[in-house]
Amino acid sequence: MSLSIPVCAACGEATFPRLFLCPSCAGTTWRYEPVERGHVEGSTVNARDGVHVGLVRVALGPLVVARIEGPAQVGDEVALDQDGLVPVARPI
Amino acid sequence: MPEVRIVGAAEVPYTRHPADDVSTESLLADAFVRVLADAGIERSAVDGLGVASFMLPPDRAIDLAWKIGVRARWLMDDGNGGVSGIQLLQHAARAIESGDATTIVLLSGDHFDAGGFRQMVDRYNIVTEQYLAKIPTGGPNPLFAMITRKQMDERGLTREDYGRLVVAQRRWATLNPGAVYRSPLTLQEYLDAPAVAEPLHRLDCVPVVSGADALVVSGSGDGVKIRALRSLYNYDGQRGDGLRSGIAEIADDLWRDAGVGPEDVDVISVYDDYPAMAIAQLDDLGLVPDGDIAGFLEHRVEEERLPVNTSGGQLSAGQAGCAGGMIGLVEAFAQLTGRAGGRQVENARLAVVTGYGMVLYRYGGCANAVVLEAP
Repeated sequence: MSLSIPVCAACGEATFPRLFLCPSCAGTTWRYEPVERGHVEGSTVNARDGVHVGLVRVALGPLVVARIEGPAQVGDEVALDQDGLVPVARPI
Repeated sequence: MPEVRIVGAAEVPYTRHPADDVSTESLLADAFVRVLADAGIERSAVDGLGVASFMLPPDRAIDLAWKIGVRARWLMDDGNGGVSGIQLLQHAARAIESGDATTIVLLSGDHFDAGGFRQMVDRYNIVTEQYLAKIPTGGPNPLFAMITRKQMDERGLTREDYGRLVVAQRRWATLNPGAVYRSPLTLQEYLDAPAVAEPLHRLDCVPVVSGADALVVSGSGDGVKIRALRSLYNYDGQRGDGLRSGIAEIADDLWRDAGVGPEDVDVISVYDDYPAMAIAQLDDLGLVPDGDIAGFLEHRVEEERLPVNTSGGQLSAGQAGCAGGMIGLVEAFAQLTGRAGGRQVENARLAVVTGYGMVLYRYGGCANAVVLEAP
């Protein structure tokens, strides 16, 4: 259970989602690091379908838009996973 | 070098329920006929065409040029939503200044059927398709809900504060026969609207409509002048929080080029996909010098009736896809030429219009702004 985060092989800048050129150093080679935890910086619920959507700050730096499986408050720590390419966060 | 003027503007009335035979291309063609009449020019005078539309593909500006009978020396497609109108205007002005064309018509508009809107939202860009549509976010509402919440926390705003802007825009819309929502709105009705994604409720979200807008830009004749125009795209690589738009970074250049300041403009049109972003742009333009947004909304917008989005904006007049990037220009033209009817701002000499949009991942990556001057 983890979320794969692209990291620039040249300078170590982490981005999400994947880009082609590193925003910091214009590097073009990426490695992927698994991240297991993050903190909620924003959340809401779509009234129409009840889907919880959140902004999760992952330890390497990027802020990702995630499906949150259950209610979460700003500041909560969450466990990260992915469903295909989509970040999924579970309240711990 | 020819002096560029906007010499005509038109809008195909927005509607939530278009006739069965309406299509995106029929709306754009309708806008073309209307804007020629408004400018008082013949079709044969037009030698440039710019088109902004989400739903026109697989057709492009050239297909439309053929179907409306324009033989063009300058042609441009721009599907960049909320910044498309000012972007088309920027390029059209430069084309006329450089002699590439003399008389350019700019068209923007969209018609969505039920499936078309959902498809546009889910396939807005590749990142949306891959990372957001499968959450599913169901479009940008939850993203801007979270931006709104952060703005509330950082700037000390409440839902009532956002409501002041929405109610003020509706008050202008009651004076615009072309707005889809023109019945007066109370703050309580705004607050009581059903939740969409907290803290956003229904009246924080634009009604999707079918419609089109158009401008004529010319190197001869009398018309509205472009004092200054600035753009900035991919201003922060999506590494910020989305609370400041790219407008903040072009505002100083814009006002310096224009030779005036934010306090000098008579009419303001900011891109209002959501109240939070309209407020962010007002702040980014320098209209809230003390940083007290709540006070600005209560005193300047509500009590003093500062002319912000005097057509009603997209929040009351509707969002016709890419036409949302031109609605502010068309309204500014109406105000600066004294043809805004019951909502005419007295002695309107200067207007500022902004564009914002194209959500790349978490928020809009595009911004532009123009200062316009009455003939």
